[in-house]
Amino acid sequence: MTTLRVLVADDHPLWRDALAEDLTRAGIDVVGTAPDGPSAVRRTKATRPDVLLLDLNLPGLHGAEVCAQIAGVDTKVLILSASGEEKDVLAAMKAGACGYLVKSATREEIVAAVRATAQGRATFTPGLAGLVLGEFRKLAKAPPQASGRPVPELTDREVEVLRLVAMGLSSREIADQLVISHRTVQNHVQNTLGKLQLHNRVELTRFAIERGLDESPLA
Amino acid sequence: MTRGLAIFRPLALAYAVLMAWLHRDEMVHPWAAVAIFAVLAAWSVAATLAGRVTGRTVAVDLGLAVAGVLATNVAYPRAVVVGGVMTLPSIWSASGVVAAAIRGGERWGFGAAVVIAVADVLGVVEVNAGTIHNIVLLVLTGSLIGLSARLARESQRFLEASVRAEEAYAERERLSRAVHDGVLQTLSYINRRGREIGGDGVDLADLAREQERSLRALVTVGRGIPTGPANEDLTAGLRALQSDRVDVSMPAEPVTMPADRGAELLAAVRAALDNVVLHAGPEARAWVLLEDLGDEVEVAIRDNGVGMEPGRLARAAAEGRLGVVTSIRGRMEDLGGGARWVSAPGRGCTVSLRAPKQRPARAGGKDPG
Repeated sequence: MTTLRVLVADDHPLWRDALAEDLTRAGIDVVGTAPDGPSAVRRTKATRPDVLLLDLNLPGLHGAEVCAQIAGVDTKVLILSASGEEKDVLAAMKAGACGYLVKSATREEIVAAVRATAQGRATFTPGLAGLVLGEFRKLAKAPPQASGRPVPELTDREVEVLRLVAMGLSSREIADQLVISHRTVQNHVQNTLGKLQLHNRVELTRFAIERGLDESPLA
Repeated sequence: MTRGLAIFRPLALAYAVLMAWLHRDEMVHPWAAVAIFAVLAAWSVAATLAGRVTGRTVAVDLGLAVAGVLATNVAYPRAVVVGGVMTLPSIWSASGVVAAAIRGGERWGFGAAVVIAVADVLGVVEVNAGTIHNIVLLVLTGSLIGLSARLARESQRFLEASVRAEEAYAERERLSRAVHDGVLQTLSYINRRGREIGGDGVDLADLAREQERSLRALVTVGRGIPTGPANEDLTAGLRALQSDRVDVSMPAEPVTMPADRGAELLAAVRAALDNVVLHAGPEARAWVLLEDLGDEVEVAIRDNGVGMEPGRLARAAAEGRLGVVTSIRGRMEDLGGGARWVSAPGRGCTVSLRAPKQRPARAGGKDPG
């Protein structure tokens, strides 16, 4: 297995160094660190790491903005933030982040989440699962759009899995309870995130097109 | 506004004296005019020095104006008064009306104008075009100045309140940013490192985590948009239940319910969490999930404690000792919803509470769940 390459972005020097040290000790290659949003974007584009370990509240650019600006780069983003900031995390996840972990997580949990992120597996906290669930319920309630385009919907199974994640069950416990494989549970979680991000991209494109048409030059 | 009044009083008095002086030949008792003007002058000075307009000064203003109007009949012979000579205080009478308007808004202004008008009519007896003209002007002056005084005062009050609220909000934002960037980061660092060090470090970590949570709750509370006094935002209520052992998951948007119903639902959630502490074992943690299902809300409370055998609830009910379970179920059924328990030994317990947001048309409808 090739060594994982990770960029650590955090404005708190104490944190940043401790994180970098933990990752290095676990055999992960920390290719660099960044103390603010703009430099996180620049260095990600320059070093193209496997994973960007991103603090949500960086000076200069917010987490969601960082995610949006590096959307073209093949780097996966794992958000690290204090608990209680799930709403802002949701914005970052919609903008393309792949996982979320609270800062009070242990070293082992962080290392495991970085490895999972590198493989494209989504990392959810219960709080984030509750928000994603709420987001889909809101979309389902919204009046049908004029374009007639269907709003994204979750399958019953996806809703079930998300609810269990939101109630604090690990993916192994969920697999046991639903009598499905561990891998299937992870796929369900990942699909919900994929649908949300797709919906977000479609909305952004639609918005851009509408604005473009509105502002077409008057002859 | 009182400053304008302080300028108006002496100017109006000077004008009144000038008018009286031009008509001095027609007077039968000039001493009455002199006495009135002396009193008015003294009062004008005193009122200006006092600086404030109160109910009492308004009464004095009006009283003197009425006395002055009535004294016109003493100073001039009857024929002259009926002939249309100005009353002794003439436009000075308006100062009482203006003072009343400043003090109490358009109603006081109108009332004061009516008092002066009645005095004019009674004093002059034979009403002529000039008197009516003056009365109309006086009523308009009192009402309009009163209205603008009240509006000015209200907008001043509103401005002050919004400036205060804005300052408080900015200060709160500044504090929470400072706390967020410094203290909370350091606390979570201590929590993590303490746990890694082990031994006494774990106690330290527990302390740091506890402080981090309560501090965070403090700086995030009340940042939502107020939803009106009649509705309660369940997300705010549930966020307050978050603790070291309780995780709360919920939608990003407020989930609102009429306040009394929301309070009942929150009480049921609290009771379920208390039950976790009592029965799930000392190591148990709990998770709360709030879902907005449109017309209904659902709150699930799960713990990872010792759990219970199937049928235990039914047996306890048969033995007539259900305590908390009955009270939770009772509350939910009162709301037109229901409560459901799922548990197995060693696998924790999950309580699902479901209730319609609005009071159902017929109370007592049961949720099949």
